[in-house]
Parts: sequence; structure tokens; C-alpha cells
Amino acid sequence: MAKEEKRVDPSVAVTEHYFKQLFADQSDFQSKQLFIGGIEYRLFYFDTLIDSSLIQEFILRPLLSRPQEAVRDVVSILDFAETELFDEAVHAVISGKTVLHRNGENRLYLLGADLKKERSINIPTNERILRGANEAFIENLDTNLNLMRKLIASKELIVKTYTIGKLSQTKIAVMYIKSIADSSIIDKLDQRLKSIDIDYVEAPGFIDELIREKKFSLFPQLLITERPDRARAYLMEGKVVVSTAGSPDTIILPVTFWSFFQSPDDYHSSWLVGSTFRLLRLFCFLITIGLPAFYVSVSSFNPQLLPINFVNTLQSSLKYVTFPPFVETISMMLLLEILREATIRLASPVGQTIGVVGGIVIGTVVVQSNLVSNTMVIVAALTGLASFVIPSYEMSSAVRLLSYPAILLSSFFGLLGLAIFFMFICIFLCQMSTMGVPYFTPPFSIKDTKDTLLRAPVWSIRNRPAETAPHNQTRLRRPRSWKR
Amino acid sequence: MKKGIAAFFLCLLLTGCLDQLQLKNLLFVDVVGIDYVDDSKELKVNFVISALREANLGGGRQSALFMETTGANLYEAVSKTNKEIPGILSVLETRLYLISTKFAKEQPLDHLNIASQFASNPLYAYLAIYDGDLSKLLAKKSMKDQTVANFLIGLLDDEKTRGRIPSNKLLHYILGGTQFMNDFALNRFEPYKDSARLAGTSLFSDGRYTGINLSNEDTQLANLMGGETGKNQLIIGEQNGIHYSILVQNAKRHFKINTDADKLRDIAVDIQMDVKLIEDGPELKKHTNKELAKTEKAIEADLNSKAAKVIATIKQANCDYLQLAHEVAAFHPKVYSGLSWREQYPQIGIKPQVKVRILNNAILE
Amino acid sequence: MRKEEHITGRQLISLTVMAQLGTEVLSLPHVGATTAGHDTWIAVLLSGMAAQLGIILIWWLGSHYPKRNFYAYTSQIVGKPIGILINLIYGTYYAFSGLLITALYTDILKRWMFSLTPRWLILLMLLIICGYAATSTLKKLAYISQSFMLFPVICFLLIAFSGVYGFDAKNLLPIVSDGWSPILKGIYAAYSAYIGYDLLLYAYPYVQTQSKKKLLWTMSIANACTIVFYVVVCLVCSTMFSLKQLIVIPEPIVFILKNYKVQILQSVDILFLIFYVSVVAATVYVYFFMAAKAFMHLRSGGMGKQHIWVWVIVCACFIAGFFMTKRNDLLQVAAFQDQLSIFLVVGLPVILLIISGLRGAGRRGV
Repeated sequence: MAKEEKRVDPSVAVTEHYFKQLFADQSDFQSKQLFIGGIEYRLFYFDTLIDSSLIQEFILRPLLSRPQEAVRDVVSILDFAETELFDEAVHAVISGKTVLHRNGENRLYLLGADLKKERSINIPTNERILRGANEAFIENLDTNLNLMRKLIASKELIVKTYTIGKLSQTKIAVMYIKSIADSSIIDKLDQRLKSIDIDYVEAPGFIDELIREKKFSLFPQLLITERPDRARAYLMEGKVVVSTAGSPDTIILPVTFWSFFQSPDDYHSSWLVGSTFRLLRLFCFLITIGLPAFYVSVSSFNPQLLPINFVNTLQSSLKYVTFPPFVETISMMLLLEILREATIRLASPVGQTIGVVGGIVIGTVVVQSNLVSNTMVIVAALTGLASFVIPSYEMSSAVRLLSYPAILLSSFFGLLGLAIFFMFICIFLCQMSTMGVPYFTPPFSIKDTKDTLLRAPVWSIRNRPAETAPHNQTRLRRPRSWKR
Repeated sequence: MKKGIAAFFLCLLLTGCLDQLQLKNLLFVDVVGIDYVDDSKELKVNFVISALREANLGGGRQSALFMETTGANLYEAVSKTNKEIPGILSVLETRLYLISTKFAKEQPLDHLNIASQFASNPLYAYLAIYDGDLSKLLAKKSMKDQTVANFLIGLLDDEKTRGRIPSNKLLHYILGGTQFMNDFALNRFEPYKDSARLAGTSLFSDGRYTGINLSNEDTQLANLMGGETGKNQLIIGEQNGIHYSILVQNAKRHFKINTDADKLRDIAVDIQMDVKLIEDGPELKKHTNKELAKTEKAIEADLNSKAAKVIATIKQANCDYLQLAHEVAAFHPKVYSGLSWREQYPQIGIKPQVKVRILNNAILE
Repeated sequence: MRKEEHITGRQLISLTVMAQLGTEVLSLPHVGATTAGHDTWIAVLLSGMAAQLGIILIWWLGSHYPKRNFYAYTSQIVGKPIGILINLIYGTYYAFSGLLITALYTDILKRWMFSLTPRWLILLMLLIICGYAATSTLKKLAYISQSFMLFPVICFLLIAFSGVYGFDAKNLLPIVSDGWSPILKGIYAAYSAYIGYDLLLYAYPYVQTQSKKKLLWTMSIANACTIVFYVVVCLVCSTMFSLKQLIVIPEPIVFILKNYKVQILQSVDILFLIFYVSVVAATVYVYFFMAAKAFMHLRSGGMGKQHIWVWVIVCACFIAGFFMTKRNDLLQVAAFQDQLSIFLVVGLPVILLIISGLRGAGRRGV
């Protein structure tokens, strides 16, 4: 049953009483009494949320100079609204607006004179690139939307806002290009976002987990970015960008496995270079999952894979190591994780020191004391480096985690365990889908490899990916027609 | 479902790791030497185990461990050795099987067949013969500053890439052999000063050592007749009192089988060689076309006579090294069925026909 | 019942090729050598042609009912009770074939590498991975097959290029020396290697192609790929081994791959044998999938859920796997399975085709 809405009483005293009662415990709530031209006014606001100079300049001064005219005509603030309901007024006060009541009128004026505290647009910190734009999203949703609108000056860019979080009332903006995006994906997203009923949202983590398809998948199903240019690139493929107030990270969905290996840099360098780096990243993906496990299999199951000179070297490095290869590998991989976590948490100058201390000192000492073989140190270092080559932090962490079960299986079955594990991952990826779009499609034809395995030349990618933009596929018309 | 997976992993933990090999405990046998114990039928098996010592902190030095045991077959020898040295003897990385002449004269391949039963044993190890005391050779700690294994295998590897010796991989001979007739020539080592050296090949007939050997030069020629391609093989000879040396650039071998109705008349072994003339005679001179043709003729004549000698030797050993039987059987099955190859092989006329073309005189004009 | 998504022609090719390649490749040259001698490759080639006829047969049958899959139209052809019986037979047959292939591969693994690891453990692991894959839809299955396709391609290149290590074409000569009867026997022996194209029975209505002819064309390409693969394998094996060796060595390909020796990698054969699990799995999960679908069609409205059926089959196979330990028994069962598969993949569709033809003719007559 809907609650009966309390209407505004013409008397300022009643209003004041109402607010005072509601915000009795709030020490920063203020109610200011004014007499202008014989009429009594009341201003209600939280002094921590408002910008007092704005109120002086655009509300009080006009009122003082033209006391007889209607408030609507006098107050020169753009963010201006009227209401007859107390609930709306209360909400407005909480979100930083100033509420004005003129005695004798049964309405309240909601004036946006909120204090805008935001940091300036910075360069991206987590997604560094060499060429291209250097803007990053910030915590303010309006600024973020502003950035996007400036990048895509088209009426086709649709911004839909939702409010999620029963208490926090967090604003979320969903952006897509109307003529490209698949409406079924938009509908699905709309349905899923509307179904969220939670006290507050921590973006992007909460949203990700609440709308993702596979609950227990280690692989990220949403791409998170802080780069507007990246968001634009995906919007143009028919994908949807979700930006949340209070977080500089925006969510892109639905994405495929291959998106996690794309970097904006690819498109700024020659397509051959881009393709090479793309392949390198995929190779690093395999290294991260498989190399430690391969080391375990070779050193405890299948030494015959290597020729005798190589085996002798490996054997001699293991000669005095007490731990079995499995323990050795797991401990070195853990050490790597510890180092990584430590460098993130510490202040950046200290972090670098820790990296040096960890990498060089521990690496050397551990080998000299025969706790771990030097081959293992190489393997661990290579694995760690390879995992950081993957542009998406989520993907690289997931992949590093995946190497542990691989090591476990290899220590039981040697290479067979590794093969089975790779098959398992492959099947898992093939079965997964996000927003009804298959997550992993093996590149089976040249057309499929164009922006997945490789970064094909721009003039050859004439179409958008069919999964996300089924109806409006052409993205490039008559490429290089000047030549003909 | 999730419980099922958990149970599955528990099962793994309880039962897994059974086939694990501890790499540090493995003893990799690099060379296997096989001989008979004196006059009995018992095998005397030598193992050379290669390892790298003191390399856990970088550096390291190659070492070889020599083991000798006896046994009825290879398997027994391995199991006996395991009682004599801690660690697990592994034939996963064996690169060379060396057999003695005494062993080679009986049925050596029957004993080696068992090697294919060693799980995942590299069957592409070399098979070679040693004309001397095997244990004495293999027991040496080092030869010319290298381990015995690296020394012997290095010799074979290098000579093989130079195209001078046949490639003898174990798999080609055991289990019935890849060849039509089980006739072949194995590379032969002989004692030399305090180490060993390659000394031509030993001829085998029907898988048994005949006791007849080819010298190094003959081996190279036989190898060329066997279809080896030109790999810069050096041929040195003398004709009409003039020494010449040539490098073979290209070699093409072709068998011509001449038949009368269903009867084999003779077989011609055509070899076309493109060569590089390094030297002919002591003085340097400019070669005219005529002189070149003369030189070509002279070299051909010399090579033909040498090749005829090689063929005579292999015929004497009744070793169908060129696999002519297969050639006849493949292209003239009727002729072959009318032949009793083993008996008639020594009587078949086999004529070498070498054609030499001098491409250039190397760097000098 | 979940509605099956459509697959493309390309996907059908990879599904079919992967279903056809199985453990047989490893032993085909050996089996061929025991029957057809050095003419194995001819037998394998002709056998592939025969398989092509089989494909045309199934395609013809399917084109009578372009909107429904095999299990759905069996009862339409022969009536309800017999139709259900046929579905039951097919379901059991596919589950059994899946088990047999897994068991054969387990046997190979046991003989080559895992002498101490219990057989059931390897079997269980393989069955679980195949079962897990078999729970997907046809489209997802096609994706999986496409990803696994990389491996046979690499294998093929490795095998084909192992010829550089010296081969002897004389081993193939003289052609057809002992008359045609050993080759005919060889055709029979090799035919089971081509089984797997029967996937079309189920997949027919779900393939997106422009026309019926295009579908047949697609299947023919798939079959041609398999033929090329098999023939090359047999040719390489025959030229590199003598007949005597081929008869003793059950998995000649593995021995051929031992040839490859690089500075940092030597036993490519071990890698091959292990990663071959993906090819085996691709066959087995298609079989499990077909079995589960057959059981689901026991009732026209759909009976049970696919993943439940798959796991039931996996459990049954696992238990049955305990009774298959001796190699000779396994080979006997395999020989029986060969006969059974020829009956079910060739014989039964012929009968059904005749019946449906007669009925169709009857209906037209009325």
C-alpha cells in the first residue's frame, strides 16, 4: 500500500517543524530565517553540502533586490524545481539542494546550490598506453557523461539513468548507440539492473556479480575500463557501457574472451605490430596458465620431453633441492603473489623497493640456500611477467589463479593432467555466454580472426562483430576509395 | 555436482602421483654397450650415465658414470644395476647403443628388440659397432676432454651431417627392420691411441655381422651409392699419376635394372655427381673445356673402379647394402619371385656408372 | 526440452571431422597392415569412398524429414513402440561406443606411460571431461570441436612432414600384389575409422545451409578431410616402416613422431600421445551427446534433462569400465562394436529409408 504523501503546508513554521523533527540528530542541518519585504522566508539546507557563495550570489541577492516578484522569476539558478510534497523536498535536501519556502505558498523551491567537490580529469593510472587519448574517467558521473558526450556528438548516443541502492541512492548511467546496439541486450540489462535491490552498490564489483551470467566463473565477464576512448570503441561495436556515480571504472558488456587481449595501443600502431603484440598476449596467457604446470610435469613425470643435455642441466639444478617440484612451484608462485599484493598496498616509492628486494634478494638467496632450484626461479619470474602482459587486470589475476589447479593436476598426471586442464578451460569457455552472446568463439575463419587473434588493418574490418551488432553491421564504407 | 567434484579431487589426492618420477633420482643412461661375457651366451651390459655435477648454482661440469653388469637380457641387466647404485636407471634419454663384434656376429637384433619395450625409449638412438674392448672404452672418464658419450655421439653426429656415413638409428633395424632385406652396414669404431675413432662400417647380412668391413673411403662411396645427397663430401683419389680432390655438391643415384623377359640380367648403379674441383695435380692452371672434360673422364674412371671394388666387397659379404632386392621386388615383382636372392645375389652383375660434372674450381679460377 | 540452436556449415565440418578421428588413427596403419599389407592406403581410401556413400544415405534419409532430427522421426516411420526401441538401441550403442573409445585410449595411456596409476582413475577423468562437454548444446559442442581442431591440424602437419626424415616409396610397391581380397578386408577394417559421420542423423535439421545439396557438400568436405588425414597417415607409416614392423607395432604413428628432435624438445611422441586426448574426447563427447539425445527422445515430449542423462551415462560407463581391463578382451569388444556400428550406421538407416519410401509411395498412391 502506498504511503500517504504529506503535502506542504503554507505556513513556514509547519515546514520548519517538520524538517527539525526529521533531522533532529543532524548537527549540520540548518534552517535559516529571513524577512524580505515583509514576507517570511525559510531556507533549509545541510551546510556541509552547499556552496554558500552560490546561495548569496544567486538566491539571496535577487530576492533582496526584487522581493515582490515570484520566486521562479527571481532566482537565477539553473537547477530549479518546485514541489508540493515533503518527501521530495527531504530527498533534495539530503542530496545537497537548498529548499526555499516563502510563507503563504504551499510549495517548496528546490535550488541546486550544492557544493561540487571533484578532482580534475587525470591521466589513466591503471591502463597506460603509449599513443592516443590520455583522459580517464573520474568519480563524478556527470563529468563522465560529459566526457562521453563530447567523444560521441550524436543523437544516437543514448544515456539512461537508473538509481540503485536503497540507502545510497547511487546513480547509474547506461550508455549505448541506439542504431547499433542490439535491443535484446539492452532489454536484458534493463531487466537485470532493475532487479537489483540492495542497500548500496560498490561499483563495479557489486554490479558485476549481480548481473553476470555464470556465478562461479573465474573469468571476468565484464570488461572494466577507465578510458573514455576505450568505452567509445566498444560502444561503436554495439556494446553497452555502464557508468556508476562514485567510481571511475565503467563496465562494458557484453564482451567476449578476446576483448581482454585488446589494448587501445593496438589500433594506434601498425597492424602488423598490433597483431604481433596481440598474439604475444595470447601466448602469455598460455604461459601463465601452463608454464609452472609444465615445469612440474617435466621434472616429475616426463623428463624425456627434453634432450639429454637439457635434462642434465635441469637435473643438476634440482640435485640438492629438498622440496618436490610441486611444493617448490606452489611456494614460488605464492611468493610471487605476495610480492604483487605487497607492492599494490604500499606507497609507490616503497613498493618499488619491495619489488627490488623481493625479486633480487629473495630470488638469489632462495637458490643459494638450495630451497628452490634456479630453473624454478626463472619459471616463476616468467610466469609473473607473462601474467602482467594481459591488459585486463581482472583477466590477468584470473589466469594467475588458474595456474594453481593446473599445477595440482600436473603433479598427479604429468602432462596428461595439463592437457585435461586445458581441455576443461576450453570447454568451460565455450559453454559460457554473457547476455546471450557466446563468450568464446574459436577463430575458425579469416573473418573471425580479424579483431580477435589478430588486429587486422582498419580498412579490412568493414563490419562490426555480428554478435553485438546484428542489424547494423557496416562500420566502414568504401575504404581507401581515393585510390581508385 | 560440487560435492562430486570435491570427492573426485579427494580421490585424486589419495591415489595420484603413482607414476611420478623424481627427476633428481633418475640416472640417465646415455650409452648402452652390449657384449657377451667371454664365451657364454650371457650379456655383458655397460651403461654410461651422464650427469652434470655441481651446477645447482650455475656452471657445472659434465660427468659420466660407468656401470657394468651381466644378465640374460637387457631388462635383467637394468634391474641388476638398480641394485648396485642408488637411483632409478632410466633409458629415456639413451643416444647410442654400442655393440661389440663378438655380440654382433650372433643374433644381435633379437636382443635389441627388447629395447622397444622400454616405455617411451628414444628408439632413434644410434646403433654402432666397436671393434675392441667395450668396457675399457666406456669406462674411460674422458676422451679428449669430453665425456665418452659426448665424444662418440659427437663423432657420429658430425660425420652424418657431412654425409660420409650412413645414419644408423636403432629403430631401423629392430622388430624386423625397416629395410626389405635385413642387410645393412653399421658404423664402426675402433681403438685409436688412448681413445677411439670412426673406422668405416661393418657389413651385416641378414642381421648378422659378416666380419667384413668397409674402410672410411669405401663407406663414403657406398653411402653415395646408397642414395646419399651431395653434402660437400670430400673425395680424394689418384688417376694417371695425378692426385685430385673434389667436393660433391649434388649427387643423384638411380638404379637401372636390366631384364631379359623374366630373368634378371644385371643392375646398373648410376650416380650423377656435380662436384667442385679443389685440386688436380700440383700446379695451378687454367682449365679449358677440353681439359675439364679430360679431368672429368679421369675422375669418373677412378671412381668407377673404386665403386666396383666396394660392390665386390659387399657382394662378398652377401650384404645387400643397396637394397637392390627391394628395388627388384618393387618394380619387377615377377622377376623377383623367380629369384632366390640370398644365393644368387653374389652372382648378379652390378655395374657402377659414375658421371661427374665439374661445376667450378672452388674459389680459384 | 531445450530448443537446439542452429550451427553453420563450417561448424558441422569440424564436428564431423573431430567425431570421425578417434583412437583408430593411432592403430589404423597397424590394423591395415595385418589385413591389406602395403596396400593399406588404397583400402583406407576406398573405405572413405564407402563412408561417402553412407553419408549420402543418411543425408537422403534426413532430407525426407528436414524439420526433425532422427530420433524424432523414427517413430514416425515405424510407429511408436518400434521407434522408441530404435532410439533406445541407438542410445545404448552410442554410450557403449563412447565407453569403448575411452577404454581403448586409457589402455594406450596405461601401456605407454601410466603403469602404476589405476586404470579407473584415468578412465574417470576422461569420462568426466567428456561428460562435461556433452552437457552443452549442439552449437556449443561445435565451438568446442572447433577449438580442439587446432590439434589434429598440428598433428597432420607433423606427420606429413616427418617424411623429411627419409621415407622409402618402394615400400608401397608393387600395388595390389595379392589381388583385391585383402584390400576388401582392409576396407571393412578401416570403415570403423570413418564412423562418426552419423552425427548427421541428429544434426541434419539444425544446420544452416543454403540448400540440401550444400549440406551434402559440407559433409563431403568433412569426409574428404578425414580421408586425406587417414591416407596420409597410412602412406607415411607404410613408407617409413617395413611390413614386419607395422604388424608388431600397434601405434606406428607414435614411433614416427619420435623422429622429431629439436635442441629443446625431443619426444614429440609423448606430447602427441597426451594431447591426443582432445581428439579422443571430441569423439566421445559427440557420442555421449547423441546417446543423451536418444534417451531424451524416448518420449515425444522429451524425457528428462540432457545433463542428467549425460551424467547417468558417464556413471554407467564408469562402472562398466571396471570390467574392461584385459587388452585382448577390449580388442574383441572393439571388433564386435565394429560390426554393430556398421549395422546401426549403415544397415538400419537403409531399412528405415526403404520403409519410409514405401510409406511415402503408399501415401502418394492414396
